Parts: sequence; C-alpha cells; structure tokens
Amino acid sequence: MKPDWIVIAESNMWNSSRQGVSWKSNPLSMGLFMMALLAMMLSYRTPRHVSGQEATSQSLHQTVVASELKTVKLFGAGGMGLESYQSGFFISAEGHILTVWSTVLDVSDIICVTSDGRKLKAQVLGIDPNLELAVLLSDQPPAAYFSLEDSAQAAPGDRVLAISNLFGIATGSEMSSVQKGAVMTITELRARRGNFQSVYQGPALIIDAMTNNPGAAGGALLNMQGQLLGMLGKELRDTSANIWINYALPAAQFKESVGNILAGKTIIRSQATRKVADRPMSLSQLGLVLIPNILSKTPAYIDSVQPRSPAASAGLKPDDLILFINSQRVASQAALMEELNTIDRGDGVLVMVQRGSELKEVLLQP
Amino acid sequence: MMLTSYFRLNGIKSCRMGAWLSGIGKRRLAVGLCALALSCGLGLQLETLLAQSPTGTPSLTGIQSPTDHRSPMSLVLAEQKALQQAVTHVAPCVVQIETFGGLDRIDDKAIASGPTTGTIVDADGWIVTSLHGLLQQPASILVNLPDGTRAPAQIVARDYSREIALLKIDALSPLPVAQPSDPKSWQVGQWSIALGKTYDARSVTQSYGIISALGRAYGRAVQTDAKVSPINYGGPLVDLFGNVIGILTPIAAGEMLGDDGTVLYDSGIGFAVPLSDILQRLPTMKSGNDIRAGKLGVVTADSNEMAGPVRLTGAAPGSPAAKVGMKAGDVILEANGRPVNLLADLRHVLASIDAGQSMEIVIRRDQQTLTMSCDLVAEIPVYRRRFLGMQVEDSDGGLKIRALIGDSPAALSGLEVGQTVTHCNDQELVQRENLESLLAVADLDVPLRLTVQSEDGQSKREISVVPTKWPDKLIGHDPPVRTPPGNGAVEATNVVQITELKLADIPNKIHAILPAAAKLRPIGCLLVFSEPGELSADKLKTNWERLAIDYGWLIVFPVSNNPQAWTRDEVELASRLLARLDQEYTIDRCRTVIGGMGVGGQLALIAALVEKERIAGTFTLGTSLRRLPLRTANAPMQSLDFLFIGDRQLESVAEQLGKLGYVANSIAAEIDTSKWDTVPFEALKRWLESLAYL
Repeated sequence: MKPDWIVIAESNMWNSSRQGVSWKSNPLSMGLFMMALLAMMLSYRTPRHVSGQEATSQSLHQTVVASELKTVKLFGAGGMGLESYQSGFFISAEGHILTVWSTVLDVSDIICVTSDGRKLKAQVLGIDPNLELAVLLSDQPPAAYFSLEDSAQAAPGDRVLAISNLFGIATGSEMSSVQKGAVMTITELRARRGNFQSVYQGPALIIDAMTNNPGAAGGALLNMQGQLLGMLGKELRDTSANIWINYALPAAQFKESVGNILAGKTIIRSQATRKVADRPMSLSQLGLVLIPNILSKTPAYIDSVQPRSPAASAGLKPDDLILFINSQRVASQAALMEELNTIDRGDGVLVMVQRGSELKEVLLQP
Repeated sequence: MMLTSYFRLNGIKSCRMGAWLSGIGKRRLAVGLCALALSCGLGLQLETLLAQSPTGTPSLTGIQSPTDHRSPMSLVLAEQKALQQAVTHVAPCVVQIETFGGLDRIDDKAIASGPTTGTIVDADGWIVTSLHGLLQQPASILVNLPDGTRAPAQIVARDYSREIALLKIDALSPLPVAQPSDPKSWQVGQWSIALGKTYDARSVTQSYGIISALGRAYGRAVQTDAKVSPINYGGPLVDLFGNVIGILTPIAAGEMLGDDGTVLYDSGIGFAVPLSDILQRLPTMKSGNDIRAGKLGVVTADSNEMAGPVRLTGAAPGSPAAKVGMKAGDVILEANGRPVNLLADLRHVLASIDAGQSMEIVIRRDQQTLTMSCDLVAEIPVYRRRFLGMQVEDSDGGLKIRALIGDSPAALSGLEVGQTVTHCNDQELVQRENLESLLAVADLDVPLRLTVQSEDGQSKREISVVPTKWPDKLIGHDPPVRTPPGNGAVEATNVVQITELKLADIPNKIHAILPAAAKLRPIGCLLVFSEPGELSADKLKTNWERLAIDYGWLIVFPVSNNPQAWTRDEVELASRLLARLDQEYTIDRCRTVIGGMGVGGQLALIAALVEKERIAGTFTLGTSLRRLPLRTANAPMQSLDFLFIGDRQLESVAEQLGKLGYVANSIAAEIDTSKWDTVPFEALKRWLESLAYL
C-alpha cells in the first residue's frame, strides 16, 4: 500500500519539468509538495472548476491535484461479500455528487471523505436506473467540482487519467488513486448484447487502465487537461471474451439524466432489453430445416429447404451455413433461434449464408 | 520439448498461481504493475521520440524545437499525436475475425466465442492470428476487412510453438500489409502499442505500453505492459512508426505459469511473437505445413531448470539424441553456439527451433569434446518403461537378484534368484540406480549383457537379456517377504509401532506405522491420504500392519485439519513428510508411494505429480476420477506408475495414461471409503511390490 502522496508524486513524473528530485526519497520535496497542496487549497477557497481552456497551460501534476479535490471517497452499506465503499465526484458548487447506483448507497447517511480531509454526509437525491447512476447531495459545499457543461468528448487513443478509490486503498484524508491509461475504443454495450450483464446498453469508453476493481466505480475519467470524460462503471465481465473489462460511461450519456435528477424529475426504468416478438418468426415459417442440434454450439447448417417456401424462393440450399440474421451474427443454432424470436412473423428476414467459400445475402419474405 | 520436465507439472505452484491469478489476486497484481508502468513512462518516450529518425513515418509535429519540451502539456499532447499516427498507419492491416459454431468448452474450461483479431501479412489475403481465438475449432471463419467487406477464411497452417495460426482469404484487390519492425531496433523501454479489432470491425482498440523484456517465453516472444487480452490476441504490437513488432498471443511463458498464457490477461504482462519470426516461417506455413517445437530427447536425472551442468542419464529411445548416439554420462556444453550451463539454457535454445530443423550440440564425453548435429522432431515415440522382470538389492560386488517373475525376459534368459549381477554392458553396477538408468534408455531389440556371479561366488558368466516393454497387466506374482538383515529374533521383526509424527508449523495430526526394524535396511515409504476427519489408530494398525511387517513399509497417514474436508494447501503435507522421513530413514526411491482413499485419492494424485521425482507410484482407493490433468508423456527416468482401485470408469483413466506411456492399472472393486477393511490389500500389496521390479 502506498501513501497518497506517492500516488501524486508518481504522476508528477509526467511533468517533464521535474527538478531532478524524487518525492519518494526526499522529505524536503515532500514538504514542499504539501505546502504547494496547501497553497492550492487556499486558492480554492471558493468552489470553482477549471475549464478546459485554463487547463491547457497547467502541468499534469496540477491537473491531478486540482481533480483530486473534486473527487470523493464514499462509504456506506456493505457485507455479504459486497464492498461498502465506492467513488464519486462533485458536480456542483452546492455539493451534488455523481456516483454509480449500488448497494453501497443503501444507508440513510452516506459518508463522503474529501481529499482535503473533510468528512461530509450525503443523501441520495435521485437515481437513474437505466444508467445505474445516482446523484447525492452532501451537507457541505465542495472545494471544487467538475462542471458537466465543460465535460469533453473522448476519442479512441486519447490518453486518460482515472481517479478513484479502488480497493478502498485511500483512508481518511488520503487522496484517491490516479491511474493513467488510454481510451482503447468506444463501443456500444448494446452491440455486444448478451455478452454483458449490464443494465446500461449505450456507448462505453473501454480503457486500458485497470479500473475494473472494487471501489473504483463512480470514479472520474479525465483527459490530460483535467476535463471530465466520463464516470467509471461497475465491475463488468465480457462473456464473449471471458475477461473483465475496464470502462466508463461517457459524460455525454449522463449529462441530460443528471440534469433531470437535479430538476427533481423521477426517471423510470425503460425497457432497454430486447423484447420477444408477439408473433415470433420460426424456422418452419421460412421453410428451413437445420442439421440436428446436438452440440451446445451447433453451427446453423441448413439440412433441407421446404419447396415453395421463402427460403426456397430466395435460393437457399442444403449445406448453406447461416452466418447472420438481420446483420446479427448467429454463431450457433441457439443464437439463431434467439434472433428469430425477436422478429415478427410477418417481417422480412435478411439472411447471410456461406456456401463453400462464397458469401450470399438474401431477403426471405414470408 | 522432450528434455526432462515431461510432466513436472509444478502442480501446486501452477494450480495455485492459476487460482490466484484468476481470482481477485490477478486484479490486484494488475494494479501494482500499472503503477509501475506509470513511473517509467516518460523518460523513455522522450528519448524515443528524439532518437528516432525524422524520416520515419509519423511526423512529430508536436515537437518542433527543444524548447518545446519545457511545456509539459505540449509534450503529453505531442506524444499522443505520435502514438495516434502510429495507430493510423497500421490500422488498415488489422482485421476482425468472426467464428461460427465449434466447441464451447475444452477440458471444463469455457471457450470464448467472441470476435478476435488478425493481422494482414501478405497482400494476397494471408492473415495471421492467435491460435487462442480458434481453439473452439469453428465450423466457419469470416474475416471483416476495415473497408467493411467480409470474406470467408480457411485455416491454412498452425504454429503450435508460437501459438499462431495462418488464415487465407480470397482478396479481390491487394490488401495493405503490416510492415515488420526491425528486431535490432528494439529496446526495452520503448513505446509499444497493442492493437485489436474485437469490438468493432472498422476501428481498432489500442493500448499503450512499453517493451518490458525481449526474448521472453524461451526466446519466442517480446513482453509488453500494454494491455493484452482476448480483446487483442491476434492483433499487432507496433512501434512508434506503426511497424509491427509482433503478433499478440498468450504464449506459454514458462514453468511457473503452466501452459495457459491467458491467466496473464491484463496483468501488465503481455506477449507478442516477433513478426520477423513469423515471416521467416510464412513460406512453410503457406504450403499448409504446421509448425511444432522441435524435440531432442535427452534425459537428465534432474529436471529442475536450474540444474546444471547438464549431464545426461541417457537419450530417449528413438529420439534425435539417441540417433546421433548421445548417451549416459555425456555433458552438454553448447547448443547452437550458445553455452549451456543450466538445463534452462538448453531449453531456451530448443524452444525457438522447430521440428525439422537441426541443431548443433557440443558435448563432453570422458575427456573428449564432440560436436553433434541433431535433426529435431515433433514427437518422440511414446516411452514405456522397460521390463526385465527381476528385483535386485544392493550387495557386495553388485546387485543380488532377490525375486524373478516367471516367463519374464530375466527368467527366460537363465538368471536365477541369489545370483549377483556385477556388470551391465561392461559398466560396473554398484547400486540399483546404475542398472535402472541403463535399462531406462535401452532399446527394445538390443540385448543387455549382464555379467553374473553365481550364488556361491565361484563362477562368473555373461547372460544376455533383451528388455521388453512393461506388461499391460498387473504383474501377477507373490513376491517373497522382505525380512530385515541380521539374525534378530523373529518376534522383534514382527513388531510395529503406531505413533504420531509432528512437523514444525504444520498443525495436522499425522499417524505413522513404523516397523521396529525400520532403520536396519532401506525401507518402503507409503503416504496415504484418507477421507477427511479423525482416524482411529487401532484400525490403521489392524489393517495396515501386515503390509508394514512383511514388506518393510513405513506408512504415514496425515489427518485433515478440518474434519469435514481437505483443503488444496494440505497437498503440501506430502512434500514435507517425505522430506522429513528421508532425513531419518534410508528410503527406497523405487518403493516410495503416495496413495489415497476417497477424496484423499485426489490429493494423492496432485501430490504425486508434484513429488514425481521422489516417488515411484501413486494409487487411489474408491476415488471417482474421470480424467487426469496430465498431458505430458512418460519419459525415461521420469516414470510414475498408477493404480486405481474402484469403479469401472477407472479403466478408461488408466487407458488414457497408458496412451501417454505410463504404466497404469485399474482394478474394479467395491470400496467403502470409510472402512479400511474393504480395501483389497492383496492386490495393493502386489502392485506395491511390482514397483521394485526392473
């Protein structure tokens, strides 16, 4: 476990104007650092946020220190194998805190510890069950906050900083941990449907910093200038790759929702998951018989085609392998059936098959 | 690789490591390493940016003059720009691969079926990827090109040594080709970018890191701290110019981590197989030839990687080493021009050589230095233990024959109980091990010349014996009892003591049956894991004392700490106990056995694989088994015999092991694992004594 000032000091190494001293080994420099921090805190006497414009002229170290003051360590309910802590950050001068909605918040008073050592109490103001986020209101105003209006949009390859209290490693007035990384890609969790057990289905920033850890959820994802890019998501496993993923909700996704909560609106759970069609499509409707489904991932090879059926008139033949249904990959017969269930019996179905080394896309019109 | 570590599973370590890495521990590790990356990021990037030639692909517009470096943020932004340019440069060569159908589990391990990544290496439609993404043996493979077109692909060849597969698609127009980065330019610490295509066919995922080490995984891979996982296996690791250092793949890195490189995903340790190594083999692979690691087939007594000098106890029969005449006593000095001090040095050279390629080996034999050229092979014939059919004991002037099996090669050749074998192929025999190591690598059709002294010591003659493979069936023979030496009273030899042993800092209770004459002669050592829970000393004595008395076995029974269950950690008891007993008694290695009853049988098997070099066999009583996690084939001097007593399913377990060359027998019997008296002791006794036969 490393003290918070080392976390900061390491990030300071990014600052190419370092003076050849190491924070780790030199108590004097540490003292200087603490003084600098104090000075900075004094200068933040009134709640403020740093805009992107201002930020370009500062060092990475300054970015980190300024951002630390906007983040908060949250402590609440836990037990039964669940952590009782997570991360959050201030989003208003009044003391609104944005975090993920989780069981940690299941207490009347959520304890918030800020990086300048204050211990605040907060209550849940509102939640968005679709984005799985919560807005809290603390009993004291923050030293500084992230303005959602000034948040930035991330692009793949952008280098980022993640600030969170992962593993609950920071205690008391210790600062949260800063991790560096890059946006690996931006992907729709929806597009990989079935692969994630996530309520949230929209775009997510996949990052290569290891944030998929207890306590990190609700942390802030920033660009190098300190602008808010997003909020670190809950632990999430990608079942199609058998790995845990590190991701954040882009700020653009929650801006409106947070606005609604601040305005006192209640957000109800939307039916985000796909519905089974009332009159689902079936294989026989299309005139298709597949090879016997004996494996858990039997490929969707066509065994026979009923004469005068939609499949026959589209020219499908035995031994064709069905690859895509309405542009959705069907890796197995089970996936094919699941896909057909979402299609209405009366609708056309776009089917891509492989015949030998040839790909063929046809529209089956029932 | 044949060598010697055949199945030194490193059991506990790899199992534990696996569990540890796949659990929360893995993720903690990841955090730690992440911090490490942070601290070494900037110094090198500056150097790299400035050192690399301005004629390279990315134009580093962010850095115009040295004065610009003083602005910290502009450096960060300039770096980001350079990284982006490298990515843009190579991105068109990175493709998404989708699979259809196939297995969803292999050996109880779920196989991910999501899209994977490939890298174009030839404009004509040749694409390399990681074997990992094709483990499920899909019915069909599609390649999604960056321009949105899809093409069916065929697997043309696999490089099993580097975990790389070569795919072919029909390209309608020439494809953009990844350019290799020059291995000579690589420096630990330089930027490296890992690219993947699993999330989106049109845009790459990217993770920035540095080269952490070169020549990893026995010289087959570059190590990076960029995030490497199923998200980008098969994608390229590129340098700042967008040239490809290597292809990302979870290559098996070494003994400590076992053979599953995926446990390292996102841990701060990622591997890429150098593209230059792949391109070198591309012509071979294009013509449909798979590539496998070359095997040499030298046998050493110690399979520890850190063991050295590398002195052979023989060459595996039929192996390349045997073909060039390498034999016991040879010391390997060099391999392909590189000095070999430790077994690891040899392994390092071997790993990068493919089957079909040759390697030059310099050995020292007696006072001579010899150079040999061996053509390495993919597979060495499965080895089965050699059989003569006799038991010997060390005695003055040689090895005294104490038992013979009728119809065995030894009996048929005219050897008799009581004779002393003094020499084998003119080599003097002092200990049983001398004959054992000669026999272990003996060819099946070549007779061994034994010099034999008659029982009265009067005459000497030479007898030729042709060894056979160890019989499939359990040796059906009642060996003579083993009486202690000297003329001690018969009563004294009939006494056993049941006692409790104590090991420092191990809380487990341990019962032990000690024959009174245990210290008078080499003794067999039997360690039995029972079902969890307290054991009755009386019942142990009643059931096991006959074996201990008649055949000279020291038998120990560890008791589980938790009366309800054994824990995985308690497997370690075996190692501790054997080490302890080894100090106090003269233990016969050929009669050292770990066994178990019920659940204890599973512990016994794990312990046996860990302690393989110390023991001769392992057995289970009433333990239900379906499959053993053992894929390493049997090898000379590394043999381990198996006996399974219980349900009929065990027959197929024994069969699997038989295919790997092990001597494995199963006996169908109904055993109540809570009652010792349901154990067929006669059969067990026979098997235990069979271990001592040559």
